[in-house]
Amino acid sequence: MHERGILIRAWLVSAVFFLCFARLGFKLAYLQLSNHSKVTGREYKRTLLGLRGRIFDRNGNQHPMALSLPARQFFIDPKSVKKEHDIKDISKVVADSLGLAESDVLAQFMRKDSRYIPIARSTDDRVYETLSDKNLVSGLGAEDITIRHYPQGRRMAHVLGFVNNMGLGGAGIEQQFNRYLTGTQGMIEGEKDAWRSEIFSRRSIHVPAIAGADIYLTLDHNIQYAVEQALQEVVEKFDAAGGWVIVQEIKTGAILAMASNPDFEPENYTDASLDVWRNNAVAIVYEPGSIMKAVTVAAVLNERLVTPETVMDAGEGMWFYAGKPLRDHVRGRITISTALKKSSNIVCAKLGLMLGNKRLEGYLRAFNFGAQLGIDLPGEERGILARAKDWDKLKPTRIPIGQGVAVTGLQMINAYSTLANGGVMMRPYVVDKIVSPSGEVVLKNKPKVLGRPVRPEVARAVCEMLVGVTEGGGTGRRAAVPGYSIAGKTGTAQKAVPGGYSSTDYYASFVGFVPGSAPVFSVLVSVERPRPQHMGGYVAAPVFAKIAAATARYLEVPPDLLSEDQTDIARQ
Amino acid sequence: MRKNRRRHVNAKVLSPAVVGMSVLIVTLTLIYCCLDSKCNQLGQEIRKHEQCFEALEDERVREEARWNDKRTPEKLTQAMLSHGLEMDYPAPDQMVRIGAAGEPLPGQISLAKFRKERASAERVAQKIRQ
Repeated sequence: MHERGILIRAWLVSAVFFLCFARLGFKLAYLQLSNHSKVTGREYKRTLLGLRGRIFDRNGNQHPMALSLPARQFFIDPKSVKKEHDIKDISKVVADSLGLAESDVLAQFMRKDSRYIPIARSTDDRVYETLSDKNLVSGLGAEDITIRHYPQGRRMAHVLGFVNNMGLGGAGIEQQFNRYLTGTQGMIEGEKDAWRSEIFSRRSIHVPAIAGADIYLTLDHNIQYAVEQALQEVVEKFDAAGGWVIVQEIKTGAILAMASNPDFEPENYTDASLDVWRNNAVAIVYEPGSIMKAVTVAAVLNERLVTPETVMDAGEGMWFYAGKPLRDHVRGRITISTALKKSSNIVCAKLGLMLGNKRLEGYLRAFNFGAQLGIDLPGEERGILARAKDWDKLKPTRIPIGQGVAVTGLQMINAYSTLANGGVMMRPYVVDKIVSPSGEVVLKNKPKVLGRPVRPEVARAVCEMLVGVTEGGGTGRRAAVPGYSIAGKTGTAQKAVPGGYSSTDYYASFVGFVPGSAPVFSVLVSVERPRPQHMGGYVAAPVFAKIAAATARYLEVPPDLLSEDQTDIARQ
Repeated sequence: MRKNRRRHVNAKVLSPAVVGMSVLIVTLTLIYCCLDSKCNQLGQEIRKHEQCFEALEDERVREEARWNDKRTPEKLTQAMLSHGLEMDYPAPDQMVRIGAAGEPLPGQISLAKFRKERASAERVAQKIRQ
């Protein structure tokens, strides 16, 4: 009986041991054969950041206007502060390293409501090394991020746009070409060791990150610098509400510079209001005023209704039509050339009547007013041009002088570029090409003809007439540039307000091209609400001269204007 | 008192094939272990190099950005002004454009001015000679 009891106990112990080892065996087999790294918490997973593509100016990859940088986001976790550390000491180190106010950092460390309080971003490795010293700092974490950096700060802000907190383009090129610029994330999956380091030999997946494509603009940062400086000066000098400038290459339609004021820092775009983000050069519509007269003159010349030498009566400074007066500072009988040179309202209004509603509307639409030009920027406005059948009796006398029609700055400069280009209208564009990280050209913008609103000889005639505007007796004398003939037109337009026009607020404009004899580039300057002076010839023309002079020298445009004796000597 | 006993050993001599197989298995196992260890070691080195490369690449991008920050027209102008250098593009009458043949291109103010000055200088020289 005793022996039997021993035998039973021995069997029981053996069974228990067997069960234990069997369970252990099963467990081992399960761990080895199934996805053991997940089961044991040894799974290693890392996301590789695909940097957003860069944006360059027309000079190639020497001058990035926007690029993404690997950086670190530092955050405070107040509950992780070690007992042996004093938060005042930590705050001092953190504040000194990150360039923050010590009191602000201390206030964040005192908070109890959150374990993730972002305080600053840094791209400096030395800062990271200092703040990673666990003997010195605790309660501070860092995570890898990428930040969008704009090396030239505010330069081209409205064209470049910005990238929002979600990493998506929020305006400008960043928005328009977001899908090209966005990089593709990569990943590494495998196992990690007891020190949480990846075991290379157990790496199961490695998908490298792919950077976004690079964009090459048609804009030049040197011209843009000159433009933005000149615009800022005029806005400050005349206490203006803002302004916009566009520089366009005539043969291709490529935009060389585009600036809008007030501007903003793309890196700190949230500091600026929504209105400031708007690219006024393409997104604001305004009544252009007298700069529209060149289009009117081109239309009547193209219809062979008049010649530049045709004489018309400008009256005595006042002309009544449809019961409404039209004032003019030009008096007497003058040629069409003189009417454009001196900017006669009455003669141009009469030219509008001569054309008739239908033809006038047709020419305006042929110059692309009232429609988008299709520039590769977001937010382009169409302008306002009512159908001729809806015009009242006054409209055909007001539209030819730039009233009762609203345009964008881009439409206006493109119309002048069309005249300068022998009547051939090109599509304006700001992106030259998009290149993938492997060097493949993904997109290449080629100059595109939009139309031919007037004959080449008409365009040439209007150009010659416009050269007179900047000569003695013309309204745009201040736009003259030594050595170059300048063709252009001044414009002063009252700002439209509900119920009529403001008597105090104006748009002062000048648009023209250089050199007048063989145009290479055109420039539009519009200043909103300048004070106390508001005339386009006084406010905008000098800005044009400054920009045109700098651009002509930078682009090495040969001077075409020689005095008579110099011409004689040059011919020798 | 110790008894001298003859020790009886119950042993079998394994066949050479079995011994050879066992030795081969053990040798292969040892080689595998060595290679595995070496691979792991190399893997760790590769991983370290990868990390180093990533860090250097990041630093290169950041350094490039710092360099670009310093080369903006605004910063260059400021830097030159700090050394008392105020520079601008030359005026049209200060430039002489030379063609591929090495001859000045016609129709330039600078050229006209140069020839005018040279002509007047020659006239003066001629007068002096007379």
